[in-house]
Amino acid sequence: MLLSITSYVGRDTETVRDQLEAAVAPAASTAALRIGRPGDLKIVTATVADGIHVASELDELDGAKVSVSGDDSLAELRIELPWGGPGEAGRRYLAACTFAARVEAELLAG
Amino acid sequence: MTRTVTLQTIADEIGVSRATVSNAYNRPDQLSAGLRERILAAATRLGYPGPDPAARMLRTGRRGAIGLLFSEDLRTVFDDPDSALFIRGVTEAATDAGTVLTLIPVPVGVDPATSGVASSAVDGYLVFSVPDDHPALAMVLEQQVPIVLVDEPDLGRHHSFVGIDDRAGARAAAAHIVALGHSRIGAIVMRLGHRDQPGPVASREIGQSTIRIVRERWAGYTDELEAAEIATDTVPVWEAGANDPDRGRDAAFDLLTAHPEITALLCFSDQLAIGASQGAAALGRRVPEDVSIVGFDDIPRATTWDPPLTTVSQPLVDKGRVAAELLMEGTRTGRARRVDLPIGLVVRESTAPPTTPS
Repeated sequence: MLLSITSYVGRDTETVRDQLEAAVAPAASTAALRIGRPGDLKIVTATVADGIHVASELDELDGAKVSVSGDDSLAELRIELPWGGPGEAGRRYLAACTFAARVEAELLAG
Repeated sequence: MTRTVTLQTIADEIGVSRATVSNAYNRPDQLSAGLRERILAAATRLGYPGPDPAARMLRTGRRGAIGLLFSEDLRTVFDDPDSALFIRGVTEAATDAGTVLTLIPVPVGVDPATSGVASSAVDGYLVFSVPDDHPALAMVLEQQVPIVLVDEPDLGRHHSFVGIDDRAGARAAAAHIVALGHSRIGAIVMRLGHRDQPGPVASREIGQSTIRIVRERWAGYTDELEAAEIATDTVPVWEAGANDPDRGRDAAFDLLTAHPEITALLCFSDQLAIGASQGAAALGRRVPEDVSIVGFDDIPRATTWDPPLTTVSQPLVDKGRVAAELLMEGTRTGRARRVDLPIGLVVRESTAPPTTPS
């Protein structure tokens, strides 16, 4: 089962895709701090068909897939996370949403 | 003459700045626990009642409250387990954030202009399961405050949305029934819009429902039935008129009386499925031996019902929490986001292969 968070970045999709990997590490650190974990956690990314796969020491983000689709004016950013079942909306959602917000911010600033 | 005690009075008494006293109330993480205790003790001694919420509202432009708009009356909302679980999640998130929750029911027949939509002072709205054409929706949109739409309607990327993949869930339910060998299948839907008109409905009417989850769940069922070469325009569908077990019971009784050949019922909710099993029993039909029943939502009663319901699960409490957190984030950032929560088919004891050959 997956939780999916979709957000929109008003930039060219190809540019966003190129910058995606660099945005993931700071976003994971921010998410970790938000839920009270040390921010400096090991992040390993792997390129998949339309985005990247994230392996993280932070359990709440481990196994996330971040993908980008869209056109030359609007990129749709989708983060999919494994979801264990009911009751996950606390820390996991908080981590995921913080992660998504920081990825967005990094992409908009890039 | 009585002296008015202000933040400055307390600041002068303790020997700190006015901002430090303000933080003791509004941002307690900004000062030590010992200093905060000294400030609060001085405030009590001097008779200071605490910051004026109206003044804070004027200063910050925030009301410190979120509205929850729904299109049922308040009793129905608390009687309906889906809604009650959703509200529990909303309440948990609002409580954690120190935010007030304002409930705004606008049932059919109530003029939104005289409802809480016109008079509530809120920073944003959760719009919970409201038909596409509900008049209160336009009023909320005109206010230009952040909103989070839950389940329906889906207004696209400019407005945050929290829901599930209803179509995929329904597809899984229908696939399960088909895989068991059923081909004589009926369906029970809560209602297609504002109307309360129990009785048979044509499949094309369901596709035109003003309730998004009804359209999506029907599309999911038909995806799978058509893949199994079951003509969906021949599938009998009964509208219950409301989402409660009594209506589900009556709908199943009428549907199975009119179509005794049916061996499986796809119910658009667990509330309807629970009632449907009672309707089947009233006709002497056993579940699942004579008729299989599958629900949607996985409310707590689905587990304890006899027989326990096969259903599509969705995290109802989490949905409320996520929606409230998304709204509170939206009031800070103004950004819109879409969150799709997970679903899954839960196979229990209300479904089995048909005992009569198809």
